[in-house]
Amino acid sequence: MNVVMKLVFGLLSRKIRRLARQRDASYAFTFVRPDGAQLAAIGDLVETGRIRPVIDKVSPFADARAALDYLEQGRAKGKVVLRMSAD
Amino acid sequence: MNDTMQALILKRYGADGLHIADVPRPTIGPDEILVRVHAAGINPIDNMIPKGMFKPILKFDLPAVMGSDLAGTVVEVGGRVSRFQVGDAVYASVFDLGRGSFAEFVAVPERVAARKPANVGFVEAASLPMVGLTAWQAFKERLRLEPGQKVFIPAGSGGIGTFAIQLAKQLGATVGTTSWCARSGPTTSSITSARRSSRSCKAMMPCWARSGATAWKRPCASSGPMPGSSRWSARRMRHSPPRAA
Repeated sequence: MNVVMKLVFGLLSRKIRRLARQRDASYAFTFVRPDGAQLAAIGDLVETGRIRPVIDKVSPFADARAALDYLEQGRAKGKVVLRMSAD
Repeated sequence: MNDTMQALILKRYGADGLHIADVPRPTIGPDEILVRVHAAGINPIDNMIPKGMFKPILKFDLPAVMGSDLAGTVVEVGGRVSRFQVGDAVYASVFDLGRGSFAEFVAVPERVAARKPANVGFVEAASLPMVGLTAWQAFKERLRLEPGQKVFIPAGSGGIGTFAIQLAKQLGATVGTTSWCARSGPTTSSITSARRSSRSCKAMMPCWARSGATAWKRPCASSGPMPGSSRWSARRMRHSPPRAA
C-alpha cells in the first residue's frame, strides 16, 4: 500500500483504531485482491460440499439498481446476485 | 457480430450516476479471456464506489462499468492463455482491475480466473469471489488462523458473514458472531461492542440457521459474553496463543 492510501485509510479508520487502542487490540484494514489460485482453492471447498454459497436474492440484470438498493438496506441474508442471461 | 453490449455504468459520481447502457464490448489482450457473463454478484462496495467513497483510492475513467464478481462462459482466449479454452465455465473477481462485471462480457486476466465449481450454478459461483477472497486473505494471510482458535465475525448472516463463518470452521476455528433478527432487532457488529449482543444470543439462533452456517461449535454460552466478545477477539488480534473454550 502506498503512502497516500495509508493516509486515507488512517483517516477512515480513526474511530476504530482509537477503540482498538483502548482495548489493547490492534486494527488492520485488508484490501482484497483478485487471485485465481485462491479462487480455485475456494472452488474445491465448494465442490467437495464443505462450503455452501448462501444466496438471498437473484435479480434480473434489468433490475440492477433495485438490487443494489436492496443490498444497501443491510438486511440481506446471504448474497445478492444479478442474472445476466436466461441460461 | 454485435460490437456493443449492455452494462451497468457509472456516468458520474452521485446518487443518479448509475445507468444501464450500451457500451463497446471489451477486447482482450494476450493474457486475457473474454467471458460471457451469466451471473454477477453484488457487494457493498458496489454501492460505495458510485457515491465516490473510494474516489481517492480506486481510479475509474468515467463512464465505467461497475461490479467485480462474475461467473460465465469463456468465448475467446488470448494468445498466451494456457489454462482455459472456449466453452469453459469460469468465475472471477475483477476488483480494482479497471473493469466491471455488471456487463454481458468482461475481459478477465487469466491469473484471476478459476474454473467454476461443477456442483453449483453460475448464480452461486458469482456470489463467491469477493467474499471468498476477502475471507481467505483475512484468515490465511493476515491472521494465519489455526485450528482451535476463536474468531469473531460480525454480521454473520450477511454476504461475507455466511461465507467467512464456513471458511473459519473449515480451518478448525470456533466462531462467534452477531446477526440481525426480527425479534431482537439489530444487534451491534463491531469488535468493541460485541458483548452487548450476548443478551439476544438465543434469539439469533434461528437467523444463524437460516444463514446456512449450520456447523457451529456452541456459538453462544447460556450466560456471559459471546465467544466472540471483545476480550478474546482482541487477544487473537495480538496473535496470542488460543485459550481454552
